[in-house]
Amino acid sequence: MFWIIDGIYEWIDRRLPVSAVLYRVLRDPVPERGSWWYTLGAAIFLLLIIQVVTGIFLLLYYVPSWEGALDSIIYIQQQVFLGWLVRGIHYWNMVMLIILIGAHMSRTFISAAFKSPRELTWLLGVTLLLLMVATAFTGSLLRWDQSGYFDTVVGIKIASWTPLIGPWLAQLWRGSDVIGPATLTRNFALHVWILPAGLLLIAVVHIGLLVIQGQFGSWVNYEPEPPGSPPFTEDEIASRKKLEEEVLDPRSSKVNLPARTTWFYPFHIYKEAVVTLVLFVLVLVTTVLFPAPIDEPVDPTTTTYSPSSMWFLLFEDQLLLLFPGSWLVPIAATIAPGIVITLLFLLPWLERSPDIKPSLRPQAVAFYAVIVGAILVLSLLAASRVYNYDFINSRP
Amino acid sequence: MEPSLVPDLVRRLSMALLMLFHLQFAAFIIGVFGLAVVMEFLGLLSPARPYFDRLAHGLARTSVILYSTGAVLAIIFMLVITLFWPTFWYIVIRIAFWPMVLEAIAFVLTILYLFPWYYTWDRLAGFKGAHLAMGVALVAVVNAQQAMIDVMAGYMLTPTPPTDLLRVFFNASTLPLDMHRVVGDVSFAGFVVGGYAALRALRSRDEERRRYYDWMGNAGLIAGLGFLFLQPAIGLAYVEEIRANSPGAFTAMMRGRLSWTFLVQVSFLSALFFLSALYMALQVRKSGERGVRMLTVLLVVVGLSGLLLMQPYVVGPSQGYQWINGINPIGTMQPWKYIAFGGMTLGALGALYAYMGSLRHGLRWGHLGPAGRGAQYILLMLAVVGSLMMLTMGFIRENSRQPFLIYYELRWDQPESYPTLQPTPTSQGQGSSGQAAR
Ligand code: HEM
Repeated sequence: MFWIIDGIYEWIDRRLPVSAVLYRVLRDPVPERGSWWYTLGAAIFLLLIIQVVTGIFLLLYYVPSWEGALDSIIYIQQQVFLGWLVRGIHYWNMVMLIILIGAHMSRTFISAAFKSPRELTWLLGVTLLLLMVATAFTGSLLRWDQSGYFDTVVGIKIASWTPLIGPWLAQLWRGSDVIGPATLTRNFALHVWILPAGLLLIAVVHIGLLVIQGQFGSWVNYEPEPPGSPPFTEDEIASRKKLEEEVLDPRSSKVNLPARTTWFYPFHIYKEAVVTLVLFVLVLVTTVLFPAPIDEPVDPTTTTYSPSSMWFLLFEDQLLLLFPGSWLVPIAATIAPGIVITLLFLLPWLERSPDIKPSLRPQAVAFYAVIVGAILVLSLLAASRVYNYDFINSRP
Repeated sequence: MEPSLVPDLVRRLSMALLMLFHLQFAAFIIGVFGLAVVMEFLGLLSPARPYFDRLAHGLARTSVILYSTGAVLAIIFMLVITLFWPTFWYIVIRIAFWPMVLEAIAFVLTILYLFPWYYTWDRLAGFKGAHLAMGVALVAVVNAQQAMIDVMAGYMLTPTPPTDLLRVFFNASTLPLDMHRVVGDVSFAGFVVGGYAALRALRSRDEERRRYYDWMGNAGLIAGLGFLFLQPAIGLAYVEEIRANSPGAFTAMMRGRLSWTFLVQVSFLSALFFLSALYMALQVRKSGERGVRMLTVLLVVVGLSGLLLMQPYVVGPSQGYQWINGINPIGTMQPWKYIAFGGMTLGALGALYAYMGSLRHGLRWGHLGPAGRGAQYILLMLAVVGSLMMLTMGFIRENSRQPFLIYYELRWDQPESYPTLQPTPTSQGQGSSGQAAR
């Protein structure tokens, strides 16, 4: 039996350099200490694949039309065999992905892994973050229920406050003067193919860069071994020797030499598998316990519905509250988020000192902490406000 | 009127004074716990570890000593409220029974954690991780205790149906108030610690001590200012909740009889930002580091924004400002106060950023030339202004709901007119519906 597989493999390998590529990728030396933290990127990638697969299954039943969308969602949820599970995974996996991308970004920031020569990896990473948020956001309209509809109403309104190009942007997104069938079609196109294609493509390049330049890890990998560390194993010695040769090779783009390295396969990939599995089980459990939401049918004329933002944009919701009135609203809508995004993109050039330890770059770390803290605080405040909405509405 | 032999004025004043006093202690202690843990943690990372450790240990000692004072004040408060406001107290206990139980548990846990945390300081010197974990647990329980009190304080201003426990816990102002306090406690503690350090620095004859206290003042200021940045946004969110849920209180606070207190408060806030920026400029100048010019420009930005923020909206005709019907065109909230808030916080943020840059290159501690002495006096002023600001905020919150004790539900002068909230033998365990009272 195995000889058949072996034969096919050899046949292919003589025509495509599969072995060479696999050797390059799998027998890569990676930093050893702290490597549990370096599993997040792979977990994101694998969960992203799950997202694509569940998305394809949803597409088998989903109807992207004004009349049919919500019904098809309800049909998937209630009638289709395991439809609730697939839809639930697609929903909760999105939640998990956004959290993980935030965590992965924070880990690479704190590690200062974005510094030369990994600026491009960081730039693509920020792009991935934005694409992920956009994908999740456009997905919510596809339900074509009240919450998705009003998310989009608010989102398009926010876009319309972009200085200079706002009205044009809003028109482009809506596809007509009001939110209607054209808007649904455009969101559908964005959500199922334009944005995910960008996500996958850029993610592959992002990871490709990692293979080419080698994993940086973090400062712990460049400090002297702590006293009492176990002696180097054979794998560690071999992997470090290989890395040394690669770093010395003038044609190679690898630059850093961690104190202790190990093979990507089988050691690091094992950790990645464990972490991804645990996270996916978490998604499954959540799916079983909490069905993915479906709201009332769309009613643009409602006077009683209190729209609330999607959870990962609650901070923006709160910002809008803090900057009321036509003078100030662009600050909350686009200027403040725009500044933060620009700072993120420019980070590798704003922070050019070669220091990597957080305690040696207190300014950058403090700034990052302030922004993350502000996002958390604003989100919590918004959540508390939204929770009390229906009570306010019932007040005499 | 509640039956009482004690005159109203005495009953109200005794509560007000006791609470304002208690708040200063409680806020400071809770903030100091947080600061101590943060400083101990920073000590692990920083090359200036001995200083961080010494500061953290000193803070812990202070908090242990003060804790009993704060607790005694709280107990006196319980006695006085039971004696002077029995009906109100009874009603509050009925509505907020569970928050109170949790609060009591958190209180006991705080005491259980506090003493081991302090007394194992030296013994666990080799196990900083374990000691830090104890500190984090202490900070968690003491903040949990505060959060439970915020449930009650929040409820009194933005009540919900008392039968729904979840809504009582997460009533509209619990979270904004709690965040405002968590952040404010640390900020306040930072400024007070800075002021204390300044006193010691000014009075130290010994070079080494002066260096330490100079550095400690700077640490206090960074904590005080760093946490202050979040406060305007949280405060604004808090006020928006009050506006949406208890509009009358909002009107009283911002447009009515208490609107002058808002100006007092933003004046204190402006002073905090301005003095902080001034301190940083002076410290950098004393050390002869680069960046003084940048800091001076930012200082001017912060100062001008502060002046703009303090502008009253209505300037009475009788005061001779008759130019535009007694209305001050730059006293409006939108856009002027927003611009002022923005200029002030961004200016101070820039100053802090520049200052931290100088810190990295190494400021010289301890040499108190004229600029150095000036910086110490600024720290003292900051501590005083911070304390006054705490008093103002307590005053505003308590007074905005007058004449209610619980907004809409219970007036302090006529509790008997809210029959549904009265304790009756028949409504056992049911709680009473605030909705019905209206
Ligand atoms: C779809 C989203 C993303 C995927 C699939 C992804 C995937 C990965 C993977 C597999 C790695 C190597 C393992 C690891 O360090 O975890 C990695 C590394 C890295 N990622 Fe991402 N990433 C994503 C988003 C981001 C974002 C949002 C950022 C930052 C803005 C970012 C910045 C980086 C950097 C700087 C590295 C290099 C780390 C090092 O060399 O130690 N990535 N990414």
